Amino acid sequence: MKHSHVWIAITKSAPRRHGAVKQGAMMKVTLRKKVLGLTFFSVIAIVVATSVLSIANIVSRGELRISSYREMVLSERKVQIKGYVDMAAKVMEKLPLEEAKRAVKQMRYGKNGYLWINDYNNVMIVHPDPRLEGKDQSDLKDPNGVYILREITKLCREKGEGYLRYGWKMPGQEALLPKLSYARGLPGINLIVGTGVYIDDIDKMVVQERQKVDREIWSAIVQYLLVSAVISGLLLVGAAVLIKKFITGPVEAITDTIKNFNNDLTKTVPVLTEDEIGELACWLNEHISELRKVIGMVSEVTENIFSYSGTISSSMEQQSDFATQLSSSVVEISSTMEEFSSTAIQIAQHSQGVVARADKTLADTKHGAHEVENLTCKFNEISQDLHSNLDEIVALGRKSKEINKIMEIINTIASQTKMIAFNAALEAASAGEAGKRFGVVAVEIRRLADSVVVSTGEIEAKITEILDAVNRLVMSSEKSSLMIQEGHEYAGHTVALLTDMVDGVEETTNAAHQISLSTQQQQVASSQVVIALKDIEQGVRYSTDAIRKASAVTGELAHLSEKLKSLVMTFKLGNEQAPRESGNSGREA
Amino acid sequence: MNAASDAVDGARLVLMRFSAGGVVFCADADQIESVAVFDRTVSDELVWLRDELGCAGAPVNGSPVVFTIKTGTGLPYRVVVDWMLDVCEVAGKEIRSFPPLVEPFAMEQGLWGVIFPGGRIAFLIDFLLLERGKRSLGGGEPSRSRLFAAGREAVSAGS
Repeated sequence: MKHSHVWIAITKSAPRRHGAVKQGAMMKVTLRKKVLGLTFFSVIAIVVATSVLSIANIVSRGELRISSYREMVLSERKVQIKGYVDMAAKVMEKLPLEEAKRAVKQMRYGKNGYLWINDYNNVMIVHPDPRLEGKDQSDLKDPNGVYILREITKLCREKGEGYLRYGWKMPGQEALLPKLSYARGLPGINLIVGTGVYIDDIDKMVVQERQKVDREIWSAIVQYLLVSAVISGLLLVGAAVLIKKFITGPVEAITDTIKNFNNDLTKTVPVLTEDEIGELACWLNEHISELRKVIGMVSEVTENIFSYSGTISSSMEQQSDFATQLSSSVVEISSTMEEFSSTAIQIAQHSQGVVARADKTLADTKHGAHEVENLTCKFNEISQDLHSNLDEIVALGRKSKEINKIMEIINTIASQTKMIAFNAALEAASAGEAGKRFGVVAVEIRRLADSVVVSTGEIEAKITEILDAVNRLVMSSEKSSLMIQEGHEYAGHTVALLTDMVDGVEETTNAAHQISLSTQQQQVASSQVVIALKDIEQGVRYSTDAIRKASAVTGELAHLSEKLKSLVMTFKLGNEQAPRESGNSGREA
Repeated sequence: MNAASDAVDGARLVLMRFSAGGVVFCADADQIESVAVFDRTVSDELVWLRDELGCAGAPVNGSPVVFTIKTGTGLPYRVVVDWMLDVCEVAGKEIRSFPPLVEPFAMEQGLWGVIFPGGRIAFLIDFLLLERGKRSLGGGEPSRSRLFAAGREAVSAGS
């Protein structure tokens, strides 16, 4: 089960590698074979190329040699026939013309060689065949259409001498043979002397020479190929040894290590060379070390992901609940905004009334400012009257105190009178019947004194009340004076405020107009908000669905983190694993 | 009923009605020589009735008045009362005596009867009896005034 997980992990993490392995398995060609094959093909290609070039060079040299041979033989023939013609020309120059003609006519060389003389009109002057002498040979031409004598005459007229190749039948033979003629003009006597030889033997000589050259070329090629094969074999053997030592051997060591890796991150790849493969091994070790760290970190991260996925799952559930609440809240807000929209319409209607009211308020405020100014004048008059009344009240209080003193005197007198009446009653009582009338008088006097005392008491009470009232009135008047003064000041402030208020009310009027416009805009905006809230409601519904899906994905994430954890546990991390596992176990505990 | 009681029942008494310590008292006008306004500057041998009756803590209502009591001994006896109310006449039969249980204690305070002038209770006080009772604390024999004696007899006879 674990191996299958590992295989899945490896195949998922390294698809290219898997593809390469699969392709390699299909071709079943090892790296050694590839390198050896590449080396072999390279050596073979080099050898073949050099061989081809060398053989071509040899062949071309052979062809050049054959060509040179041909030229050499042909040149010898040319020199030969030119020597004959030169000799005939000297004869023509030294001897008299007729003697010279006879001498030339009798001159022979080789098996069938002869000389002829013609003029520049193509009339044959001297020829071994007497039938041709004295006849115009302008129309003499070979089977290929070459006018022989015309061309020779032309060469001599233009260059003074020249060679001409053409085909001609040897007497007694039907085969057309190649022939080379040389002619030289004799300007003093206006004659042309020439001769010709068959050069078919040259081709035979060339063929023989070619056969010889071909044999030599073949021999050289064979020797060359043998040497090349031997050298190539030695090179391939040496290359195989070197490839084994420096390429395939280290690669096979790395392959064996990786093949037996088994997720054991404690293994190291042997470093056998210091070249790219050694560097590859070093990098593999480095990456294995890094992978060991990464797997350790992945283990911790997996633990965290597992725990976080649980947290996220719970959070997603909370968010789902919250989204549900939010949806209901948005619905409520939407209904509220609809009410708000209707309210905005009402406000827009009422704002018109506010504008009219503001205009009236402006007029009232101006009128109020004028009235408050009048009130300030009245306050001044009241303050003056109050001050005069206050003086009168203070004088009244002073006089009331004087009356109180008088009443105290009267009271004292009444008390003394009463005492006298008591004493008189005593005297009357001690006088018996004789003092009865006197007693009656004493009683009346005492009653009068009592009534005086009572009256004075009442007067004192009244005066006390008057004094209290006067004091209260004085205090009230002083307070009223202060209040009137404050009222006067407030009235002044009120005038200033009303003056400012007029400006403010004007601004308020303008603001009311602006509010009216704003409320109309608000009405439109609130309608848009209602539409937007419905969109939000739809979005919240989508969000709720998305949260539910995300919650499901989070559960899947937890499941995957659990799988990842089991996968990570398949790796051997060596000594570093122990504290990490103990740390994990401690954290789990 | 005897002659003495008839005389007392038929007699009319002139009484000085006053208050001291919040209690209304009546005294026989014959015992009082004069009435004067209380002068705080003069304090020689003044006796505050409220102090004598154990009512010193009660508030003083009214203007204090000084009674000069006729002692017949030449010794001054001046009593200060809280408030002089009036002078009234009562018949002897309107006087009521104390219950026998409390009478000895009332007598020690100079109180010898009770009347109800105007519906309000007033205790009859004998200044001489009071003065002598105080003096008897020093060993003297208590004496009774004429009216007290006659009234006491009338009350005893009526009961």
